[in-house]
Amino acid sequence: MKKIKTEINGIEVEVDVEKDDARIENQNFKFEEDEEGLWIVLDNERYFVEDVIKLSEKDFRVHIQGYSFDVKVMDALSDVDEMEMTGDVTAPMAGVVTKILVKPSQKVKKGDHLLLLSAMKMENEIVAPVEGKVESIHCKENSQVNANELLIKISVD
Amino acid sequence: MYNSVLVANRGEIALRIMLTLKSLGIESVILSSPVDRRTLPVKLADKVIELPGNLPNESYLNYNHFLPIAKELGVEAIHPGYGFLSENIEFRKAVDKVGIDFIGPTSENMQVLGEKVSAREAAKKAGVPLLPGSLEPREVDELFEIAKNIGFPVLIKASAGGGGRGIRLVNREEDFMDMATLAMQEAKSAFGNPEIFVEKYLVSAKHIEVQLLGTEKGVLHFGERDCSMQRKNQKLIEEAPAPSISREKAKEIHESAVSLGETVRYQNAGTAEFLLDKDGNHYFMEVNTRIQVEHPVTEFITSEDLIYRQLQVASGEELEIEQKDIKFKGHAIEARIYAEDPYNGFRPSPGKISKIIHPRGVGLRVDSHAEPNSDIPNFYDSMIGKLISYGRSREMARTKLSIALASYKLTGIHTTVPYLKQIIDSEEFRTLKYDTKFLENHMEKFKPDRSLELIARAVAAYKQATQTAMPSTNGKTVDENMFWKKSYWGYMRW
Repeated sequence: MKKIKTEINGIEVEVDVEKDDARIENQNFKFEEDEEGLWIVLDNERYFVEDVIKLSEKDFRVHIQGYSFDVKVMDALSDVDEMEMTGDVTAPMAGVVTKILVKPSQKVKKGDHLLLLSAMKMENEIVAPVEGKVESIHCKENSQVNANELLIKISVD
Repeated sequence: MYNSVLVANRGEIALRIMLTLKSLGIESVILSSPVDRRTLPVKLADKVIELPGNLPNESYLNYNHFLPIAKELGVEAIHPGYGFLSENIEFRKAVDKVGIDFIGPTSENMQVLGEKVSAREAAKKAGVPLLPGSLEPREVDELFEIAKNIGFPVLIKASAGGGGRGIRLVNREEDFMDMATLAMQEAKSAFGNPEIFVEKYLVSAKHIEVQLLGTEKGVLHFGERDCSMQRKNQKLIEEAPAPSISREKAKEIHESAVSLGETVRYQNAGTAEFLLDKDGNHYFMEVNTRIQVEHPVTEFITSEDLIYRQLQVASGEELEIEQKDIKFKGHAIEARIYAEDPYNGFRPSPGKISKIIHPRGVGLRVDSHAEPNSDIPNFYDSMIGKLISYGRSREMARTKLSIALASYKLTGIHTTVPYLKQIIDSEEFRTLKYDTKFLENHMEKFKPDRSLELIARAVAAYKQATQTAMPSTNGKTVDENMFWKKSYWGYMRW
């Protein structure tokens, strides 16, 4: 049996995975794979998994009954969530940096606005994940950035 | 009629316009940015003008680049679609200057109606009811006096804004001065015009709009649409006819719209938008001087092709119909499919579509350019398409739309499909108990079933444990989720 931590929109739930089934909070999920794909049986009901997209080593997008969920998985014992507490601010998606609101060596508090990123006609405020000092800025205004690209480094005291 | 028309747009609306051009035997010329080269409208076009970059300024707004080429190709008229250059007066004038027809209103129409203060003045002149508020431009302290007189809450609107942009709600008197100052700064940077005005805010309202078509002989209307199901002033579901008003009331609103159109001598297609208060009084909101996203619901109930009518008007062809020939039958509902995650703050979800099977059936229309492996780029609006259903009654149209949404197969990116289905299945939608603020006030009402969320967790854990996960088919959106967590996202739709 393997214990795996799953996270959807920031909410963690632990899953116990066996060979052909999984348990969450005393509910049993049975997996059945056939030529059509993957089925889940829960409380005698069968659900077809429409698609699973591996977004990264630890991120899956699961499509089920018209809904889609982004699930982050972590080995409950070994994986430390390396994302916490770092001051690297990266682009959550590809877009255009429309405005940089901070200057190097400026002190910022957690939640302070750092820059505006425009994607699909929407302006997104990127905020400081931690308190600290702006160490370096790695993007320019009106420049295109890719998903994951480092935008700003914040040094944590 | 024209021989050659340029579609200065992309995606579903480019495809929609092109279908009418093709059906009339008109040569269709289209624009294409590098990322759009393999999309359906580009594939189907007779000629393609390649654009130098992907950013809107380098591509679909870059008329200095494409206008001379269009002229050289023998293009006689340009259809701007919606968004992009459709309401840009400078573009309108530039098109005139090169000697190409613009399929839309005159620049005077755009000037008067595109600017909110002058649009309100025109409405007043036409005898259209206005919400209490300021008319001509004023100083901030004068606006404050007006706001106090009409009573809070009030809206501060940027005169040059529109389509839900540049609007601020002020609930309390003591916040007014700060908000007004901020709104002016914002209006200046966003629209290049700091002018603002105040208007009474209706706490509960319906959005009703009238489809207009201005011709040489006068202004025709094609009935009204109800677009009250919105989120942050952006429409999600639209229908025609408006189900919550009597036919007498509808007639009254049509008359207001036509009167406004006649007053400004409106040409071509446009939409007069109104707010309806709880007591059923209608008030002028704005006029959109273009074809709208939701035009298909009107086409369904009138059996008309509005793009064809636009072409007729623009080319100076006499219309063979009069107002009495425009008849209404049945009910149509449209749902807008966006590449956004409705259960995670409507965060944009660009990337590659993995699987897509559009629903089909009698009385169902799909306006979409999306195909399997289509890339939904981050450069433009996140709309993937529209699903429109038609039935003899509202309930029949609603049921068809619900089934169509349930049978939509669309994976690889997040979309609004499941959310739209939840809305149209809701008791409130069925019994018409909603206003324009309904979705914002009932955020918690529409969530995925917890058991589905747990299944998704189980599936991801299983894939991880068995290491049989499929290879990534979504190169462009790799690892979005990891980074999502690190920063909080506010958003604003333009």
